[in-house]
Amino acid sequence: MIDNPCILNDVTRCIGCEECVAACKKINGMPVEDGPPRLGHSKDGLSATRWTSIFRRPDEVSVRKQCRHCFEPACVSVCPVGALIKTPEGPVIYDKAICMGCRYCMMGCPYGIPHYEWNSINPSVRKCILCYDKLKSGEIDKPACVNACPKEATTFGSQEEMLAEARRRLAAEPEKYIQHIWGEHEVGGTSVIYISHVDLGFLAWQDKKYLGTEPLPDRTWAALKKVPLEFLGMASFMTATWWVIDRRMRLAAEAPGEKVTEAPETTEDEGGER
Amino acid sequence: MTRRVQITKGILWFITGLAAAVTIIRFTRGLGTTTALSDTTPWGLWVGFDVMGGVALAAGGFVIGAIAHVFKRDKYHHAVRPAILTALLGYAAVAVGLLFDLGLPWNIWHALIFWNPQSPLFEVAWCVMIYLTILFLEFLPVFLERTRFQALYRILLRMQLPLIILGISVSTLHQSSLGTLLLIMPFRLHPLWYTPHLPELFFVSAICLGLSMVIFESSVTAWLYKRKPNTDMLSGLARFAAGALALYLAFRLFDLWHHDKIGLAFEGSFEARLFWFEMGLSTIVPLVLFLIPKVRRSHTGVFIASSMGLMGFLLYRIDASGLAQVWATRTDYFPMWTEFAVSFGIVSFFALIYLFIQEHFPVEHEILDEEEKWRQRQLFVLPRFDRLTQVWLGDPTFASRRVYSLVFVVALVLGLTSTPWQPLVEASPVQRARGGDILKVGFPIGTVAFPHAEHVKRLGKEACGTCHHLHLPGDVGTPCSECHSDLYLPTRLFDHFRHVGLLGENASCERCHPKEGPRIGVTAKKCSSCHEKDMMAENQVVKTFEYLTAPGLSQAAHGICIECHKREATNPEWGKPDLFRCATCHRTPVSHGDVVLEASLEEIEDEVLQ
Amino acid sequence: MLESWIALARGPLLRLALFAMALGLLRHVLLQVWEIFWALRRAGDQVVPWGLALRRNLEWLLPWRYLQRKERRLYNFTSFIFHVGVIVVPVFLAGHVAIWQQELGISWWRLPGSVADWLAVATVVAAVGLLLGRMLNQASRTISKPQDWLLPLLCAVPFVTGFWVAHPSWSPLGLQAVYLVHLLSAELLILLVPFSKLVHMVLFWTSQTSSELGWRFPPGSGERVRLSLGKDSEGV
Repeated sequence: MIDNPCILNDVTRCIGCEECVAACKKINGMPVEDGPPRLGHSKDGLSATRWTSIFRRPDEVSVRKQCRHCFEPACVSVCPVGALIKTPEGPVIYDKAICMGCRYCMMGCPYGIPHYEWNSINPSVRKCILCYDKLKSGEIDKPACVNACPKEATTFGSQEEMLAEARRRLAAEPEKYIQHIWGEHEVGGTSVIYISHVDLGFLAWQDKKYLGTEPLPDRTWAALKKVPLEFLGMASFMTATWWVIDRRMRLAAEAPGEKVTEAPETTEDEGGER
Repeated sequence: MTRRVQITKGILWFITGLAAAVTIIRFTRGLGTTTALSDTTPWGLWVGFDVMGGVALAAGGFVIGAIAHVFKRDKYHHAVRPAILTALLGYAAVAVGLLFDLGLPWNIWHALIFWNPQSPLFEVAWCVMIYLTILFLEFLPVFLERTRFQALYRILLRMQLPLIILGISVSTLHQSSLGTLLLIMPFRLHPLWYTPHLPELFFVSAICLGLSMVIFESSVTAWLYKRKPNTDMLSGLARFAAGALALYLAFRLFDLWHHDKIGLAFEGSFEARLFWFEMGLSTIVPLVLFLIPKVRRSHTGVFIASSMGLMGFLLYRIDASGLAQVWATRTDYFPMWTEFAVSFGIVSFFALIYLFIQEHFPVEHEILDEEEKWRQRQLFVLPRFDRLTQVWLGDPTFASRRVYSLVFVVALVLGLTSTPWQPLVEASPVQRARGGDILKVGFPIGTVAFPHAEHVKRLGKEACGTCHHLHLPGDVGTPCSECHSDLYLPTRLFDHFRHVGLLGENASCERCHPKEGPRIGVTAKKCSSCHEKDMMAENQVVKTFEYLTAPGLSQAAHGICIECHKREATNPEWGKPDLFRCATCHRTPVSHGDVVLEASLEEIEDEVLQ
Repeated sequence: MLESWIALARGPLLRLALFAMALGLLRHVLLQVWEIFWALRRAGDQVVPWGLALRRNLEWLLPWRYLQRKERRLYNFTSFIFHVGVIVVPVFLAGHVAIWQQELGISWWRLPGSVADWLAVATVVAAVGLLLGRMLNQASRTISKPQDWLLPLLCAVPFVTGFWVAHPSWSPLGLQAVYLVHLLSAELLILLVPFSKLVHMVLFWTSQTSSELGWRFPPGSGERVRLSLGKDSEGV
């Protein structure tokens, strides 16, 4: 398996035939029919049995959705037990045996990719794994969806190759494309990149806004890395406060007539601030 | 035991019974059946209320611990044991709530062995486990006080202060980490709630909520057991609460101002209104009330102010973990009654345990003494009979147990009856697709005539938005399936009563069902054995159909129509039927060249033809 | 209109009735066991004639000796027929078994159609006979309570309507209406089981048992057990 595998989706080439969806369902052994949609289902068509979907815009533009396999995935960073794994090669995969089912990954993903088997009594988180196991064993050399695409709207290669290809296409037909590669820098860069003639901001939550280039895990880590310090700080502050007050009270008891000075009322609140 | 306690316990048992019914369904049918959660809203009431709210509700334990033991305010010593008990039970309730919410609850222990220190939830899980242990050790002396394990009791008492300081530190961590949880969702959470200072805000709000809870709980206990409330202590706590609330208010507003988001609060949007409602309920009104000395000394006053604070801060948690995200997901989520039943049921169940411990262990000595006197008196009350079942009710303790168990069973039965047993699917206005009425196959063949006038009549003139502009402006082609989601489902056609009625006197089961064996649908005759002519003559295409059901649209199109059209396409006499072209049904990109598309479809068609 | 009522009666109401009966009866049994356990503990008498209690219960369940008693022979026999009908017909009727099989996939022996018909008729006649017996006997009439009159009547309704559902041509009303009445009356009856004296279907053994155990208790506890025996005077 190549390092840094990457999928380049060219929105201008997609005809919306859904061959990729069918191929994905076949290789992952999922039923062809999805069954009735659940109330509040994703409007983009993704579900636990549909890991890639064609998002059809009213203006007849078809955009393929799938897991972006971020370089610094939010889902991997938030999973309390590490059931989602960023493999050394690049794809983000899921280990059912470890998962507790807290669904924090689904909340954390900026693209709303992980889906849940709501109707199962033993549910899994489901999302595209970039055909990781089959690529790794050499059974296939491209993900099934890429293989199935009749229009080469979705192509597969290493990250460098794909970025170069994307830049080549943008330069070759500058009037056709918006000069932006979605996924090159978004949330720290992703392994699935898009070039398009329409704005693709709608692919993420809170559509029509850019996601920014800062990886999401940095935001929680900024708070989490202070945890040991907070713990020690709070413990020593409390001990010191107790010691001071205890000592004062004992002194006051030894010297009768002197009034005990009271500690300010909101001390314990201020203690929480850093 | 006062009448109040008995009635309260009855109500609590009822809610617990409802929750027990939902519990059965939850653990046999899965989350999909018992919750309105969906892929767009994977966290709902159970996370917002049970976990986020529950942990904060139990914050009273460490706050009172700090006030009484670290700051040595002796008048609050009375509040320590109830507060620690509340905290202990609160955290236990959180753990139970988690068992409901986790998709794979039997893997809950995985947090112990699979570590991901990057995850805020991992940090919360560990802190909660540690703190639960600390709370247990802090509370153990209450269990031991009147037993013969006096040596252990004294050791634990001596450990009280270090334990409390440890508890405060651990609480600081996970109360703030609950806020850290949400830092990963800048794109889901509305900017009025999202801020890098969520951890600090959550910590301060936990102190507010904890203090409100202690005030609320001691005024409720006083009311329940008809004791004079400790006004001195309550008003003192109210002053602390006022301080904490003022701090929270200043912090929150300063944060908004600092990040230049204060304008958002005056936009008039749903979120802005929600923000002010939440701030009013949680902070502003209780703060004003607590600042008035007369309110602080009034039993009702502190009760009202603290319960407002409680609800407000619970709303804060629910907003942050759900309501303030609707803005991004654009999906409404309203908890099903089953979710409310479980959330309130867990609270009720642990409230019952709380009352039980109050009545049997020296949490508050006055209550225990009263209860023991009451129990002594009950030994001399005559037994009774139940008039309806003519069953002996036993002595009064048994009688009250009979009442509680009856209430519990009634709630359980009502719950089991009204709980949905099937997962929630998109509601369709059409329960049974009646093909002839709605779908009219028009001319040319292969198009479906849409009776627009009928839809307008049925939905009302103002309902244009139901179909047009459904998602975005310019959406002119809302597919039928957007409303008629059962288009894709097989439809039950057979009407048993109609058949029995029409056959009249000739009706006998054996006309359709076998003499031997079960008389059910599967074993009955095929429709075609009577309706050969009706079903076959007009419609040459549909030659195979499932018993009792008509195929859904996609099933019909892919399984029956396309197959036949493919076959017929090879017949040179017919030419190429339109339906064979994928593009006839599946929409095609216009902006990108019909030429390309036509060519590609021609290619595919050629392939099939060869 | 009737269709939707039938759908309601076949779905949620049936479930409500069955759950109420099952869980309500379970509650009665558990409470009764608990109370007997506590009664025994407080009595402190370890010599309990379990064998005797068991034999009394078996005799009561298989009432050959009871039927041979001289007094009120006809009444006892009617009561026996009534109980057999009330248990056997609903449980083993082919149509009912088919419903169980369809809904839950479980199935058991089915009563042949003609036997079911005759047994149903016999049950209805027996129910009327029981009421007459109660009416004509001075002693029974004085101790009867409203539910003693109403319950046999209510028991008869599902049998009559059930018979009509099976033989629509005999029925004075439309099939749907009769079916609806059949469903609703049966559900009411099932629902009432844990809330009326019908609860004796699971608690019969406690009265038989405590009457045997009662004699062995020390004087103090005898009072309470004697009170629990009060149920015996009701007949079956």
